[in-house]
Amino acid sequence: MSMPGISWTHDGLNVTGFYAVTDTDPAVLLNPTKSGTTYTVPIIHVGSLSVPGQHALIIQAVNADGTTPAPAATVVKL
Amino acid sequence: MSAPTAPSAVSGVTLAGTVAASASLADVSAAIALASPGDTVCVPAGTATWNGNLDFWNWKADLVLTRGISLVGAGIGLTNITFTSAYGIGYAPSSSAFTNNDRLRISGFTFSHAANSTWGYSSGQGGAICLYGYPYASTLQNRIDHCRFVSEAGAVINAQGNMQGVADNCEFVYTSNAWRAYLFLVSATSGDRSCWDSVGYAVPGHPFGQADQFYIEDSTIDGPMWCEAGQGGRYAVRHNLFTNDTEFDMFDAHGNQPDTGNYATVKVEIYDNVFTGLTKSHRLIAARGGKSLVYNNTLTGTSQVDSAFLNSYEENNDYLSPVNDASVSVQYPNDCYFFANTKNGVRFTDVTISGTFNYTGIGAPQRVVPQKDLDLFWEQAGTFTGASGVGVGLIAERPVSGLTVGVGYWATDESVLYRATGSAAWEVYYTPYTYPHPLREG
Repeated sequence: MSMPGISWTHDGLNVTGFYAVTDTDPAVLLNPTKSGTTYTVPIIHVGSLSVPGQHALIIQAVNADGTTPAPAATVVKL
Repeated sequence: MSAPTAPSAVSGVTLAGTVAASASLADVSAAIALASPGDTVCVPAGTATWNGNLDFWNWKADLVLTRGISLVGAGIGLTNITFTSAYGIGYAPSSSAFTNNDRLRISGFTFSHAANSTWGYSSGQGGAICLYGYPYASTLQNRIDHCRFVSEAGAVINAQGNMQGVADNCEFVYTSNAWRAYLFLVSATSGDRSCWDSVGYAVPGHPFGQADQFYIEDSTIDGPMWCEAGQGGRYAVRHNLFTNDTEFDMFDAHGNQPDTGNYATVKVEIYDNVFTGLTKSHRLIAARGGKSLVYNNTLTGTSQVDSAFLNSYEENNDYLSPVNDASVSVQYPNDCYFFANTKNGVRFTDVTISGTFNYTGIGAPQRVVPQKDLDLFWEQAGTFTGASGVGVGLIAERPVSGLTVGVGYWATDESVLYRATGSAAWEVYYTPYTYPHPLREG
């Protein structure tokens, strides 16, 4: 019965956090729940993602060394 | 020193649930179409009139759901929907929904209904939300919460068949006395006895305090209200605040109707409610069929107070009754317990039996029903001795002998209703179902 959420998978290695970048919003540090290799966060915590419309979303895995690949996912919503 | 190691790439980013573009029926329907069972569909703030006119069994509904989702508005007064079809939202769970015991949640709306003379109480249909679990696809996890219902002429919540669940933190606001507005009605289709005879979902004997009914709790009801059950219906109304006048019969446990083939209510529970601002003549309950448990209700106001506040009667021959089916209860008023109810601080210590039927020579129980201390038990004036009615007090004060089989004792320090099984023996007869309702968790 939770609110709509964003989920992603990650092996958890060499990572200290996840950031979300929605459209042109500043990056937001996420505090996801973890189940195995799946991470989930309600969309209300992801910038403007809860506003109806189409959004581009990038989830970044980061660590203290500042090295981070940045795969992106475009989320299309009504 | 080794070079920093970058984390691996994030993958599989997905969105669970959908967000409607607006509160319009088209946008909400489109979002629901993208949702899977268990998903949440968020409806943003806004005002919309829904003109669905979709087939919903023998009726029409603006929106029809067949799988369990969470339909969540922005909140009372923020997402405002006006219905125009007989039913606003009709939920007819599919066989998959039944198999998977889908969870349905409707939350965070203000619902009203456009005036329409073709539906309402007199036509036996219409309402805000219909949970239609008859006959094969009932679901047990239905929750309606944090919604406001305004000026609903039909059944605000109409739970048919074996649709179980809870409505909580809702506001029921009526501005017209034109109709007796159902708070909700729990029944099977007219003339069918499945809710009595197909009781695999229920605990045999239909004891009180079970999950197998629809609960309404922690809600406010302002204005005329009539809460009815019949045809196998079961409901529990607890911990609510009623303000201003209700209808004459606040709660009705309908009896059998041989002329139409309808069967009686199975059971109702009404407890820990507060009623204020009563000015009309009322009956707290018309216990016409099945079991009734009415206790700890507090009434205040200037309405007429007489013995009809608690009323019970048998009006029809149960010749169609499953009375001889040992797996179910009997249809006539039976196992009714009334106690610890007050009007302006004065306890109700009388019940009117305004109609009886003599089954002697006809069928079980071969006597007149209903009768005091056989079918109906209520709190008596004076000291409770165990010989009659229902006692209320500490468990240590419970009589130990001289008991009449069937009399009750409500242990206030335990919140347990005991029933005498012999002249010196008690059994635990009832404990309230889990409060808050478990569906409110998570």
